[in-house]
Amino acid sequence: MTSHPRWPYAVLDTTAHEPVPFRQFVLKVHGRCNLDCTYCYLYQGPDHGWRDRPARASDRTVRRTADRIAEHVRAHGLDAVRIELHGGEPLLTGPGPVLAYADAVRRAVPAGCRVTATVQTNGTLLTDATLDRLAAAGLRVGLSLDGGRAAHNARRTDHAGRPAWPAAHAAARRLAARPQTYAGILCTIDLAADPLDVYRSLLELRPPGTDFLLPHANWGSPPPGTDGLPPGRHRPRPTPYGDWLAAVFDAWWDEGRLGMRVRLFQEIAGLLLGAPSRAEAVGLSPLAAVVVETDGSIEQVDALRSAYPGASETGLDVFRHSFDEALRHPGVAARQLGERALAEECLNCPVGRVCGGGNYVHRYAPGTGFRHPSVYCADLEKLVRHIAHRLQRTTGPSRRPEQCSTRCL
Amino acid sequence: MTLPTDDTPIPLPELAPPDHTDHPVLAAILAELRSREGEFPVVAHYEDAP
Repeated sequence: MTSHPRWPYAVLDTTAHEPVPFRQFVLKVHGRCNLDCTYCYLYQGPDHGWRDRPARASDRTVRRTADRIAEHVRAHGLDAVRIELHGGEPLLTGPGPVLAYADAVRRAVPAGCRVTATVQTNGTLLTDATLDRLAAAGLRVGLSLDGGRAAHNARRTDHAGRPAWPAAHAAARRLAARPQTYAGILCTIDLAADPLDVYRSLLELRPPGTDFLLPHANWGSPPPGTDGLPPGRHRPRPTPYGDWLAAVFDAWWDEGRLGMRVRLFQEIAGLLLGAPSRAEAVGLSPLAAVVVETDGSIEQVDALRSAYPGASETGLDVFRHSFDEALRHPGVAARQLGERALAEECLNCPVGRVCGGGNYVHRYAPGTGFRHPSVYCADLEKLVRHIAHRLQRTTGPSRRPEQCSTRCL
Repeated sequence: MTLPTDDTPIPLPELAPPDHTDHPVLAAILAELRSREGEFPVVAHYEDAP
């Protein structure tokens, strides 16, 4: 039996806010992976619930999930949704299950609703033949890599300890030849790697975009390279991740052309210019993503599993519950509250409007839950202020206070 | 290293999107922001998807 922390589970009134419909459905095709990455939050983390789930989504689960998505689309009049074919490794048994899942959803939703389908893969099983089939079906493919060289990916090995890099590199080359299908690269930061070398090597792989992800951590399991403290906005603090990201930002900003989109940087810049964010890592936009596990369980994003066992569970499933019921779950509702979900320290912080408290997962502290600043608070402030400074030098002088359309923070 | 505690209330600069820029990366950011105009509400997406 999962024991959830007090906030949001015991105190959040989920009837007191207007839920935002889900627009992104993360569909677990396979619940197992052919890799055994040392830092994986799913298979190396505290939650071992994956062991009890089917290795693969059954045809019944696929059909029922597709029907539930269609029900949600109709109920809210959605004209577009995203589905993310995920795992584990979604291509573990070839492209067939992925194609079948995408096809089931596309067939189920009403005409007029655009379905953008993306496979997020480690690339090791992405052969030419598989890529041909995915591309022919209009699926986009995203890669998980920690850089563009073998050394950057040393933590990514299979269960026998063999490096994933040779096959993953071949996949990256195949995708570079198919820009219409290439969705981008997700790169988890490793402080041991030189940031500029990681950036330049990723550029060489020619992805249309990338994102740099902070390793999942929280106040109970602080990130590597930092020591443990109670939750709070501690200053001054070392900012190894902020420094790493700032170095990459400068290289990206000064490139003289847009070599590739970098989601985190673009979203922070957009927030500084007054726009809302599309990313869960920063900003205060409502999260519109939900996960369906291989057994049909409806869950919150599974990065939550890095916090404590069962953290992503809702107790709901596609066979008995609609996605509208999931919107009323306290954990889901908490991700749609924006500023109202922030800790007091964040509300009073001049950077809070931009960092938005950071990734919700990184705010967790054992016992008290998620209403805390991010365990990466100092790193985020460092990065946000760095980008603000570079942006200010590029856009010209700040507006005078009387010209501000939003309150000065 | 972040600012000492006494300096942490320093506000962020108030920035407005420029009407025009020659900076290629900023231009791309502005173009993407323009593409979101009319999108309400703007929602956040899962980090572990590109």
